[in-house]
Amino acid sequence: MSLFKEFLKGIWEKNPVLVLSLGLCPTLATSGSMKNAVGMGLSVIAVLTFSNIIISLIKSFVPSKIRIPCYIIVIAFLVTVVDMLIAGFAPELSKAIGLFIKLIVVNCIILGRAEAFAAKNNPLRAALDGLGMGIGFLIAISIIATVREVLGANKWFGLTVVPGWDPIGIMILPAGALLTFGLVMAVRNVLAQRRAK
Amino acid sequence: MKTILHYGLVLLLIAGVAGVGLSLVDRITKGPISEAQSKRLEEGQKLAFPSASSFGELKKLETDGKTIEYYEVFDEGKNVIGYELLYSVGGYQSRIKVLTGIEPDGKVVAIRVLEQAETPGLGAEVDALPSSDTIFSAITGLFSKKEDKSEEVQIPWFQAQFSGKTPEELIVVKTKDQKHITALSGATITSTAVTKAVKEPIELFLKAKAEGQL
Amino acid sequence: MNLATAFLVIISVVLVNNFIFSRFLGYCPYIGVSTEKKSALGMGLAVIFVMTLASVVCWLVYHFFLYPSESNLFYKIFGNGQNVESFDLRYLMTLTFILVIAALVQFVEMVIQKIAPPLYAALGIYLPLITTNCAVLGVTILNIEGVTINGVQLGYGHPMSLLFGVLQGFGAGCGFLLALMLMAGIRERLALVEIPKPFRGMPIAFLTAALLAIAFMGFAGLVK
Repeated sequence: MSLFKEFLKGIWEKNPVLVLSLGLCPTLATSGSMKNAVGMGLSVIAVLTFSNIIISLIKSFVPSKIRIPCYIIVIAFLVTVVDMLIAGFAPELSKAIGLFIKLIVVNCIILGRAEAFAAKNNPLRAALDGLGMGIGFLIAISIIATVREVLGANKWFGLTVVPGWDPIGIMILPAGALLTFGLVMAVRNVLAQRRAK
Repeated sequence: MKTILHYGLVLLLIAGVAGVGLSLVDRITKGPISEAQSKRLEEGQKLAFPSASSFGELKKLETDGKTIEYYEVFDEGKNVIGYELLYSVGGYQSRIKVLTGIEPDGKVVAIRVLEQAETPGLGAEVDALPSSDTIFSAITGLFSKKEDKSEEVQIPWFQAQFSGKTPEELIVVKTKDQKHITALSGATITSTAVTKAVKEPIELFLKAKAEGQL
Repeated sequence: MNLATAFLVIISVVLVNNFIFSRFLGYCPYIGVSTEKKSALGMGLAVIFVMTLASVVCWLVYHFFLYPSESNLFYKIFGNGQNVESFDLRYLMTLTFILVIAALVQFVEMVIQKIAPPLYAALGIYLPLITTNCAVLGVTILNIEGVTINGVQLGYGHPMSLLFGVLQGFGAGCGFLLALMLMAGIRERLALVEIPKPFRGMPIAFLTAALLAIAFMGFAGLVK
């Protein structure tokens, strides 16, 4: 597979959220506003890319029986670094989504890519895979956050969209997240079926 | 036996490298993290009592099984002109921590929500500034030259309502009225919680003060 | 913490702040194993067990190894009158907690297999899945961060934080089981229904969960 395709597959064909249904908790929890969603998306891109690179580098040196604990240590290390950087330089964001930044450790996208891809490929390919999957995650979470923030709070990145319109509050609440996610998945299914024909 | 030793060594090595790495990053970020926290508290202290010139040390007051943390507020001559009460309550989905500046008789000077992670767009609007920015104006603003806005601290409209109220007036109402606290639309629970975080410590504090517990 | 507060902690975490419907924790196993009631029950019970145990163990680890205080074991052994603050290892929290949970799950699996084979036959296959259940790591972190219920502050650093952790861990597990059983009951029936093609599988499961979440919104404000 060409390097470019390696990068591209995470965005549509194997989108981690919409197709593989991985990393659902952060997608649902932090998509209430674009600010939180983009913060989360960028953190995942950083962790995923670097974890893929490191795991690809150490793969020959880690015995296969204890690979999972080793990967978890690497991922937990990267997540803590990102968590501390956000707490230090973006305290507001840390307050809003801090718990979910810590929970990137158990985000199945990261461990899933480590196991399924990084452990079998060279660092360059692993990095591109991580970057592509991370961007796929960012795109998916941004779509959901856009729908929720515009419909639920009449805002986008905190800016009013239609002055004077009373928004549908439930879209911002957990129920709205689930509703939006189900509908976005269905829309993607329709598009994928059309393309297949 | 040999494999166990091998596995143990590999795990230990990776964990050791990770631990050392984290302690280095911790050294770098520790400063900014605590700075950001103390800066937020300092700004909050000034906003909750603008006429103050200095603040006392953090003190604790235990009463009715509840803990209130408070600061004494001084004027230039080191006279106590009021107090700032620090209190947390449970909101809709997070802990809300509020700093309330009061005069000695319990009248609110100003409040500042220090911590909250409520629902964006609903409860989190307790921190919303009175803003007329829309996407349209933001985009047109990119093309027209802006005059520099002065670095004036704005107070979120919801929090501004508390200024000058007595504890008895701190009641949440749904329709706008000057005498009470108008709830944020769609976020009654958060509005009630913030109001409780202001009212409850004032009442407990005044009672304890009257009984000479300070 | 008196009995009333303890009760409120449970109510809060089972109904009002249900991990699935209002905190968004533990979705991967929630969607994954909610297709039939039998496996939902097994998974739910395994989660209750691991969450309660993890709450205790992580609290102990935090108290004796990570938090800088007089009872920190590193301070006791290497302290020699040094500043307590220099034994602050809280930045290792995420790393140690996830390793503790992973080790705990492995250990529990081995013990159950030895002591109670029938139980292992029922729960065994769900245990490895729990390591990557973010609700378990989530509850241990939330136990440390704490909540405020009826003006009483709970969490690490406040009185009886271990008991609070156990209650919250147990309650969160029960809330998870409740959510899982409700969903499995509905999905068993959904399997028999003609659903529009694009909605088959995941999308309809999420729409169902959305309706359940709306129902759970009715509990909001029950505990302040």
